[in-house]
Amino acid sequence: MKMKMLANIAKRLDSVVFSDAFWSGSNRSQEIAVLKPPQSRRFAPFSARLISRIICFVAINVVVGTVGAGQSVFAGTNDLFLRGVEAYRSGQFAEAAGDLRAAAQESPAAGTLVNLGLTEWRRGRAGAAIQAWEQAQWIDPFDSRARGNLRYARQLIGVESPDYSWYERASAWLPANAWAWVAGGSLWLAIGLVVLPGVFRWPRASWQQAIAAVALAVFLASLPALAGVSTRTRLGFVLQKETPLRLSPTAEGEAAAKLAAGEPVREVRTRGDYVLVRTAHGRGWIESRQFGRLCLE
Amino acid sequence: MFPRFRSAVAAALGVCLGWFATSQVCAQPAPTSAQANALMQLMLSQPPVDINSPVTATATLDPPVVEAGETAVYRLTLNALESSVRWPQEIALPPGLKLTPSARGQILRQDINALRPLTALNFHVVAERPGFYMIPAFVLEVYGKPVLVRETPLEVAAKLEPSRERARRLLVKPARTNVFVGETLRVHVRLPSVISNLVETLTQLQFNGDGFLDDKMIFRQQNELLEIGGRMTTAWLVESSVTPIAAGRQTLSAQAFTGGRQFIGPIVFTGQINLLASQPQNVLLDSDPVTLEVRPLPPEETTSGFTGYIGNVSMETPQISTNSLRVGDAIRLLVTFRGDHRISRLAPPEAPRVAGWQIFPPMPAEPPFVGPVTNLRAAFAYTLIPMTEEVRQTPAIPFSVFDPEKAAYMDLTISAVNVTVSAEGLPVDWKPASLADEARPEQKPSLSALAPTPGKTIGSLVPIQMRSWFLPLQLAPALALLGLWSWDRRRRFLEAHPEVVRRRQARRALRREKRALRRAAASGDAPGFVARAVAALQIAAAPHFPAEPRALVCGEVLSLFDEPERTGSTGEVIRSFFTRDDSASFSPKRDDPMPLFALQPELEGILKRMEARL
Repeated sequence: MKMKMLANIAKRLDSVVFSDAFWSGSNRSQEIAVLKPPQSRRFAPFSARLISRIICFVAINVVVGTVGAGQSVFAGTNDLFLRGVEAYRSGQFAEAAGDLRAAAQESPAAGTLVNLGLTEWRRGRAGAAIQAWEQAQWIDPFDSRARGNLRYARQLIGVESPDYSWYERASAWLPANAWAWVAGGSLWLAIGLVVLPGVFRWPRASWQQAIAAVALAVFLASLPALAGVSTRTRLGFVLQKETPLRLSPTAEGEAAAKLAAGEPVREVRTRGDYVLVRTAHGRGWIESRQFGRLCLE
Repeated sequence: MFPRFRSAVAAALGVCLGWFATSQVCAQPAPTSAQANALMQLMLSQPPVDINSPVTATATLDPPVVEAGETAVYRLTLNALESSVRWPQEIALPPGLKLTPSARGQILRQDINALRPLTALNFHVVAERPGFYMIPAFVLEVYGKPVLVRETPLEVAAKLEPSRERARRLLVKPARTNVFVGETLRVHVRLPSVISNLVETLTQLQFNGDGFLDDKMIFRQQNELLEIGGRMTTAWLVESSVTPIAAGRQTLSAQAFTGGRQFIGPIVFTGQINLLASQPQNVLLDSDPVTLEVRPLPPEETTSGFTGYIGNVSMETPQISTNSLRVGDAIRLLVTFRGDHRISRLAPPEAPRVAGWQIFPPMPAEPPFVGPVTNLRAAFAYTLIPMTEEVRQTPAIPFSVFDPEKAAYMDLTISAVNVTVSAEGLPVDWKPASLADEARPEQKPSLSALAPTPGKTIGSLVPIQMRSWFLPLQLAPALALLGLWSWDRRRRFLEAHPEVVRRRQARRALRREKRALRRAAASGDAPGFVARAVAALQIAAAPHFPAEPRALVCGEVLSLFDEPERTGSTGEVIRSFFTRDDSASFSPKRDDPMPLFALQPELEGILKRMEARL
C-alpha cells in the first residue's frame, strides 16, 4: 500500500508546481510539489506599478504642500502689490516704492519688480530702477516691459548694459532657475534611461538610447549657462549718481573715477562697509549702500 | 541788458588778462599773429578789474536797534572779488546772539578806468533777550592777506515803537505756492522804498533754493504802491520766474543789489515818482524764504506725446499749404499754439514715422515775440512729403501738455488733414525706396505702463543651484539608482544560488512549525503534535536534497544523520514520529500517540541541530 502511494507520488512529480502555500503554512494546497528553479518574477520586491504609485504620492504631497503654503504668502504679497500700484497712480511714489519693495522682498515677481523700477524712476533714482528691472529680467527674460524700460533708461542716462561673456548671454535665454532644472533633469533622465532598463529587465529599445543621448547633450549644453548664472550673481549696479570709485576701502580713499547711477559693476570681494568692484573704469572700492546686487538674499 | 552784459564781459576779460599777464603759461595752441592781435586789442580795450587796491571791510547792522526776537541784517562789504574771501573758522559771538548766513554776492562797478569789485555778505542776527551786544572784530583772509573787520554794536530793546525803522528787505511773492515739478512759476520781488516816492531799482536778482532752477529772466519792472504797516509807500517790482526741479516742500528766497538808476529789461513807470539821482550804493538785500509745495507730475496714461510743457495751451486748426499735391512734393503743415507767458518754452511733438509719408522735424514758424508783454503764441511748421499716392490724409501727431490748474494732461493731438495725392508724371513702376522700411514703424524706446499683475514669481533671487537644498535634492535620484542597483545585484545573486532562498524559506517555515508543535503539546493535541513534528522534520531536511518537504519519508530524513545517530536515540525518535504519522494516515488501526509527548525534549534537540545545519 505504501509502495503504491509512493509510485503515485513519483508519477505526479512533474505535473505539480512549486507550492507557495506550503512554505507559507497554508493547508489549502493538497498537491505535492516538485522542485523547480525559482521564477524570476517572484524576486521583484517592488513592482513598477508600486514604484510609480509611491512617486506620484510623494509628488502630489509636495505639490499640495507647496501650493498650500504659497497661497497664504501670495495673498499678503498681492495686497502689497495692489497698494503699491494704487499709490503710484495717485502720484505717491515714495509710498508706492515702499509697498512694492516689500512685496518684492516677500515674493520676488517680475511684474512687481517692473512696477518698482517705474516707481524708482519717477522718484529720480535711476540706479535703483535699473536694478529692479534687471531683477525682473533675471526672473523672466521674456518680460518685454523690463527689457524696454532698461533700453529706454540706459539710452536716456547714457549708461552701458553689463558686459556679458558668451556663456552669460546664453544664461539669459531662460530664467536663471530654469537652467538648474534643465541640467538636473536631463542628467538624471539620461542616466535613468541607461540604467533602469537593465535593472527592470525591460527590453532595450533604440528610442531609449536616442532620448538618453539627447538628454546628455542637453545636460552638456546647459553647463555653460549654469556657469553664466553663477557668474551673473556677482553683478550689481551703482545706486547713487556720482559714486566715487576709491582706491582704498576708506572714506578718505582717493577717488579714481566717478560712477553714474545704474552703471553695472561686478563684485570681487567685500571688506567692512566697502565692496571691491570691477567696472569699465577699472577696479576700485565703493560703499556697500551705493551698491545694489542683482541677486539679493 | 547792456550794462550787465558789459560788466560780465569786462570781468571775464579782466581776469583773463590778469592771468595772462602773470602766468605766461598757455595750454591752447598758439593763435596766429592776426588772431592774437585782435584778441589783444579786445582785451586791452576792456577796463581791468581792480584787485590791487587796499581791501577794506565795512560791517553794518540794519537796523542797529531791534526788538528782542526781531531780525537785523549784518552786512559785510569788501572791495574784493568774492572768490578771494576766506571766512574764518569761527567767530566768537556773545551768548544769546545768533548769526545765520542769508546771502552773498558780487558786483563789478564801473569806474573811470577800472572795474571795481564789491563783495557783500549778509547775515541774519537775532537776539532773544534785550541787551547790548557786540559782534566782535575778526580777521578775514582776502587775496591771501589779513583784513580786519571791526566790531559792530547791536542794541536789543524789549519794546520799540511800531513805526520804527526796520531792516531793509526784499519781499518775495510767488504766483502760486502749490506747483508741479517743471512748471514755470512767476515770482514777484518787491523793494519798498525807504523814502516815499523815491524809487530805487534792483540789479543782479538771484533766487536761492536747492529745488529751483533760476530762469534768469525779467519779464517786467515797474513801480507800484504798496501798503506796509498801514502806510502806503512806493515799491519797485521785478517780475521773474523760477522752475521747480525737485518734489516736496521747497523754500525759495531772493537776493539782489540795489541798483540806483540802472535799469535792465522792460520797465513801466506809473504815477509820480522820484528817481535816485546819486551814485547807487549797491547794497545787497535779501528776503525771507517762502515755502512752496512742489508735486511730481502724475504718470501719463491716457494721453501721449507729452514733451514736458506745463501750462494752459490751446491749439488753432492746423493749416496746410495745399490739399492737392503730387508724390514727392513737400507740403507745409503749420500748427499754432496759444497760451500764457510760458508758451515760449513749448517744445513741439516729434512727428511719428508713418508709412507713406516722409516728415521732417518741426521748425519754429514764428519767432516768439520779444517785448514788454508776454509771448502768447508759438507756431511750428512740419514739412511732409507723400511717398505714395495711396495716402489720403496727413498723419495725426500725438501731443499733450500738462495743465497745472486741472492737474491733468490735456490732449492736443494735431489732427489729420485730408489731402489728395496723385502720381502724375512719375514712371508707372516707381516705388519709393523707403516705403518698405517705413511700413514698419520705428520702435522708439519708452517707459512701459504698470504691470497689472505680479507676474512670474520665484521664491528667491538667489539661483536654486546656490541654495542649500538643491544638492541633496540632486543626490536623491543618485541614491535611488544606487538602491536599485544594489537590489538588482542581490536579485541576480539569489537567482544564481537558489539554495540560499530555500534555506531561508525553510528556516522560516521551521520556526512556524515549532511554534505550532509547542501549541499542540500544550493543548494535548496528540495527532496534531505528531503531524507538526513530522512536518518540522521534513521541512528541516528538504533543502538538503533539495525536495518538496512533504515528499520526504523517514529514511530520507534519517540519511542526513551519521550512522551512530541513525541507530541511536535520534533515529529512534525520528522513526517513532514517522511511524505514528504513517499509521495515522494509512492504517485503519490507530496507535495511541500520547506517549510521544514525552519525546518532545529530544525532538526539540533534533530540530535545533537540523536548523543549525540549514
